[in-house]
Amino acid sequence: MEKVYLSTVTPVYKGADYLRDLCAELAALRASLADEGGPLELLEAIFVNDSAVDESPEVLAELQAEHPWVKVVHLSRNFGQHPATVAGILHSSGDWVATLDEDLQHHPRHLVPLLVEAIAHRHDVVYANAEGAVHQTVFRNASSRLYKTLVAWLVGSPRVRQFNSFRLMRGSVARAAASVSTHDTYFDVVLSWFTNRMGALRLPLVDVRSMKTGQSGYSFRSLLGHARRMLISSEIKPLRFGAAMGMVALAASVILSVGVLILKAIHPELILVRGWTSLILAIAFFGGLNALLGGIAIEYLSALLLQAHGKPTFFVIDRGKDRLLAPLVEKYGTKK
Amino acid sequence: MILLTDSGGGNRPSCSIPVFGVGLLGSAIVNAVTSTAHPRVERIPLSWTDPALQERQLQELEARIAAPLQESPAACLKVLWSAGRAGFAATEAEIAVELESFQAVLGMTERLARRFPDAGMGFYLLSSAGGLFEGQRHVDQDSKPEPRRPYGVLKQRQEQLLAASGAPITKRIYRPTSVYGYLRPNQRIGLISTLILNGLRHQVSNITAWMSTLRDFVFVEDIARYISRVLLEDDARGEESTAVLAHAKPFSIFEIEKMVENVLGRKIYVSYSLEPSNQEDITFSHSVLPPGWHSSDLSSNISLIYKEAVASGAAFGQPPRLLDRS
Repeated sequence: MEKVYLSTVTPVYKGADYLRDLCAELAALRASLADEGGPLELLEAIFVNDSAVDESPEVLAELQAEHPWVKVVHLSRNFGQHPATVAGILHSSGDWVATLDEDLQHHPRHLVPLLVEAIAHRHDVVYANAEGAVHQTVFRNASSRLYKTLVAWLVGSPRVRQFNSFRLMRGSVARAAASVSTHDTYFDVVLSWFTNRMGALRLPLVDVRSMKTGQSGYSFRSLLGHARRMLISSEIKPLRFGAAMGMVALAASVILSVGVLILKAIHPELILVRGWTSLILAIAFFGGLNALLGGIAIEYLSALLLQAHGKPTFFVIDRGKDRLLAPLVEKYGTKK
Repeated sequence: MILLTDSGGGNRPSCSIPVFGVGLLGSAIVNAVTSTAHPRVERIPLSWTDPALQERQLQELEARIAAPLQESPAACLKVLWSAGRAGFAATEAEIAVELESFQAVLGMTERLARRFPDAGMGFYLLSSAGGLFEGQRHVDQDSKPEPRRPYGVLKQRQEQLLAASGAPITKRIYRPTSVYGYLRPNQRIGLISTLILNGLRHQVSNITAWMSTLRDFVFVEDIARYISRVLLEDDARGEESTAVLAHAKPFSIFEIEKMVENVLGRKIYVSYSLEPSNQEDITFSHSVLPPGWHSSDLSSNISLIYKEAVASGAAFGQPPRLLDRS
């Protein structure tokens, strides 16, 4: 029987307390898929040891010895969650790749619903979005929402609100995006270079680590880093807006100059303060010109930057295997 | 072919190492053995197209190899088969010719093994993981070879013939995945070298795969180092073994394209084939790797190949003889 393979990728930094439970859940999912006898198979669970600061490497070594489908990739130093995720994706070979956090906030039981959502709505990427509050504190939830709203406005893409590290991606798209991802690009923005078939599924996500320890995997500094990468990898819409405003100011100054010249010629007595009008028009003209030229220069820079980052001219995809999962969609149905 | 005669040293007995097939892989292994053990190196003519001539040449070779085995009971013979004249796209007729040659060489080894049962006798076959497991993902120790084209059938048949041999020979089978290496004149080159070469020449590379196709690539120097160590350290008296020499990290063709572009510092031109048969992924699990095997970093090796190609002028010499992914 032709198979559809699923890979999971989990960056590991401080997950020794959770990895056994996560692996047990993945094993249970793998066994249930095998029992169902369908085409879907959990091919591999890839754990990327991002120079973990606890006993995670030892736990991972044990898990790898226990389960042949567990793969462990060791990074030479701590590179951060984003590069570790990219490294894991580049080691995957599944038709679909899911990225999960180490602390069971992203439970493997949600993987099949995510896949069903992807197949039913012909998505290449599906993000898991929390149904309700994730962090159990009003401040954390509010700041998280505010952060996403702000970044969505800055990059001019409402899709940013859906971005989540718990995502299911078509393998070929995920690996292509990972191939061109650098330390300065935001992986989810890069994904959108390869597909615009992106969706989200609301799921009951709970920040288990935060509930247990009061600590979050994200710090203010890491959130700033995320925002910086997102801005660098996107065509920043506010800057384009600034250039457009410059063009408007330039055009207005030219029109006003003509008007003032006509006024000066026909009714010079109406201009009461000598020099003021020409000064304002000169400022408007040169200010608008500067803003316009600055905007054009930024457009050039943006195009060069995106090219340097590897934004593809095109990408070929094969969605032919999706038909194999039609029975899965019928069985589980979809939320919408 | 090349005959290496290692006079021994330390705990190592004197040994004859005939190497059949001195293309990309065979010549790299010869170089690795030579740089470590400094054996006598003789290039011996062997016809691959004339069976009668080949038989005479093998008889002469057999007589030469038998001489030191007669003189010293501690001496050994290690036959390395690294020939691959029939490439991935070989026809039935081409593989038949290669299979006949293989049988002749195996026959010679069996005769020598029966004449000198106390000598260390080893046959080291470099097979092909790509040919045997084409279309299989996450190949592990339980995976069964299921060749899909004549080339894979040839490799499987060679393995079967060696395994079925009743002569007292230590049988070692190594299955490298897609091998890449430095550009050499008149040698078949693989995908990576083709991309580098055509990138340097601003030419289009025609790739027999999809952008998203997954493959496993191993550097020829990694294989050469590993096999040379096996050839020099193995006493050729142990159990038979089979191992896959893989990177065990899948690479999409798109990822390779981006790596080459990064090294070259410019866009390269690639034309992909949309033949469904070329879309099949081949990936491997870590569990198939033998102890002591190490695969080096691909992006660093692409940089090495590029620098060597430019420095040696190979990038601007003759065009590649044949594009092949095996």
